[in-house]
Amino acid sequence: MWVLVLALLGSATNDAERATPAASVRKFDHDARQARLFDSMMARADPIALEVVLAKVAGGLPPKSLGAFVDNARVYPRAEYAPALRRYARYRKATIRARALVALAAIDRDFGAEAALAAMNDPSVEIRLLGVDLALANTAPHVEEALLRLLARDEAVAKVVRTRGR
Amino acid sequence: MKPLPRSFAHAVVSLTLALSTGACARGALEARREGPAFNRAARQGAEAPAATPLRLVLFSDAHAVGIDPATGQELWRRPVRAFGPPVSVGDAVVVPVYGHRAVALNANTGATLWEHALPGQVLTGLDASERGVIVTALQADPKERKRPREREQARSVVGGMSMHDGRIRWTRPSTALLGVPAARGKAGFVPMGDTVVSVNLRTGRILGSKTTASADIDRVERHGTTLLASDGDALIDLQVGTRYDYEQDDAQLFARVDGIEPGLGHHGGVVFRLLPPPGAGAPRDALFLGRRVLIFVRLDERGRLSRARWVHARMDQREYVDFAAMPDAVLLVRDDGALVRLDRETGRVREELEGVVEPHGAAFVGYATPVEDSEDSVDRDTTVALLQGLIEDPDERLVPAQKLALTLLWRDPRPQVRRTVEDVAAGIVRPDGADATLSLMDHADTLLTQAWGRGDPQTVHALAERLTSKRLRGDALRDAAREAVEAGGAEVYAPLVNLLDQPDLDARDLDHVAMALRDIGAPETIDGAARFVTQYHADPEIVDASKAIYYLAELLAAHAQPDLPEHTTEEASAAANAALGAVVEDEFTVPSLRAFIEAQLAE
Repeated sequence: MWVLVLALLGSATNDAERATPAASVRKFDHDARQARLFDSMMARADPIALEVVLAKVAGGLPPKSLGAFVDNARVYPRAEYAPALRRYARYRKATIRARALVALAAIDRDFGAEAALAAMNDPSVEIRLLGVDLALANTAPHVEEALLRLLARDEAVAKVVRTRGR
Repeated sequence: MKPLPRSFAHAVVSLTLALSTGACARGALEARREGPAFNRAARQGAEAPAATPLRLVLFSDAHAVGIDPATGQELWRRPVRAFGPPVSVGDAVVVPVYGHRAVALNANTGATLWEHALPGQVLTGLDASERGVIVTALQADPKERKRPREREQARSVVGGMSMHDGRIRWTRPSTALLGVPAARGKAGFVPMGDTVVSVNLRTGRILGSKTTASADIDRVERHGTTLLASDGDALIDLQVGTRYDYEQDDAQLFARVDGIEPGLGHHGGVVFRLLPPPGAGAPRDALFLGRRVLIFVRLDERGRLSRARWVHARMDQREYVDFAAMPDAVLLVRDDGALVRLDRETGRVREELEGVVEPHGAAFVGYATPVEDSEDSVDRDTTVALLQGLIEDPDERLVPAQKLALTLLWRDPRPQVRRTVEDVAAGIVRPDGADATLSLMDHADTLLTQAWGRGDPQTVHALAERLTSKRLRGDALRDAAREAVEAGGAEVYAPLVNLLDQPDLDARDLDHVAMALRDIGAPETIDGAARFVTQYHADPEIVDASKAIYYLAELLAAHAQPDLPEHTTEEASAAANAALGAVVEDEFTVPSLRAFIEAQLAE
């Protein structure tokens, strides 16, 4: 559930940002253009498109392109995106971290477990809660162990989980 | 023929000594009763003596000359052919003279108090207190009749002489090589390998012993009320165990005796002397004489070199023979006999008094009350500039002082000052191939592998662990980051770089970390800095939230276009160039950041 909410929240914001502004305030937005380019290239995901996207990501992205990358990586998951997503899972903005973790978890169960562990150690409570959901969706002995440790040490997360349990 | 048993040889040595000197021969000197007994002996006579007027006795080839250090006036002159370094006791000075004898002179009148043969055959070292004189010497093996010329041909012997008439009271042979002893109160302290044995000066009875961390103790010295053992490149406080280490990796800082006293004036001209504090506690100041340079050094609470308080260097080629610290001045004896009086606060020359004799050795007799040295009155930058100037001097005699200067520069909290050490290691400061230069480069190289600033390995390790702690935020993080700049070591690089990737670090904390990385300026941190700048350069929210990215860009620019190629590594320079190039070319780079980087690169 949390996964969906966060992902949708992220996407909604991103979509609004990427929408073409009114003609009166229109100024050519390179970032939005690149974000739209990411949408099409990541959907296509042919080798050339993939190479371009990964090269752009390695060079650092402006906000809209970054949002487009992490969201498209969730919609069109590929293992090639994992190194970049790992990096963005430590990004200074919580929304980017959450979306990168969800995208990482979308690749497969192993990446899901990795994303769950990373999320459960995040400084943000919301992302730790996301980590609980990811852990439940990608069960593994070491993930369950980490989840129990989180619930034991983190009263804020444990409280929310108890409420949801009821 | 079967070799004689060792115990028999000892007995023969003892008997020979007893017959030759008329003294009471004791059993062999050996380590025993570690701990309290030794400490008791070391404490006796540790209290500071009453202040007595300072007298100076100079020893030339053929004379001993008494001088009033206040006026430089000659008080008396006696024909004395001193052989070894003189020692002062109360109003007297005891000096070994040619013919394997010792003479005690009254420092005020020059009158001979006594003259007597020394125990053994070749002098190793001598010291005296009011209770007696202790002498270590070499004695020929009983099977050899000749006087030993090599220490391998001889056994060591220690003996006690009366301070009253110079008569030898006792002797003890030793299977191990003995070093230069010290006397204090009722006890004498004899270095023997890694152990210092304390003996009663009057009877020769063994009081106790202390094993030190150093395997090769060469001499024991009195520094005010502190008793120190020296192994050639470090001094170890025998009471509290503090080690005054000078990191002279490839050369012995202090001249070694190795069983045979090299003779008056043949010491290295290098003297390190702790200045006793007025109250209780370990000495915090010291004077280092390196031939024609005197450095007033501040020590930290662990006895390590901390900083130079002032530096006095002679511009002519004259050297100093000895010095004494007085409450308001430091008095130096120049090799032409002149007396040079320095201001104790600033190290500036107050006056120079013409000499009356060219001395090979000097003894200051008398005792000045210890004083609390006020805070540094010489500007820190001036002292640093003098140390840097000292390092550039090609005079080979200055190597020990230059090594000390390098260590002091490496201890400086400011990275730009420490850069001198990097420049010496890289051969920039002295681009010649002289032995002295190579020796300095080796020393600088060794320093570069160690913690810089005032940090020692334990402190740096603790600091690295603190920086790794997740709870370290706010002022605590700021302090730790500054400490890493001022007193860190390579161990702090990784924790600082890892902090850049901590998403919960607020903008101010991030600033402190980035600023610390910029100030340290290590090539090892370039990859982390490049990663951060590349990741965030196009995000205006993050770029504008703090100055961190600008600090890191400065660090990258310093490596992309270093002042000298030696200030970075090829890999670091390439990584910095690639990162900055990509950021400048990227159309999404925040304009203010691009302008800043372009300006940095243009500089």
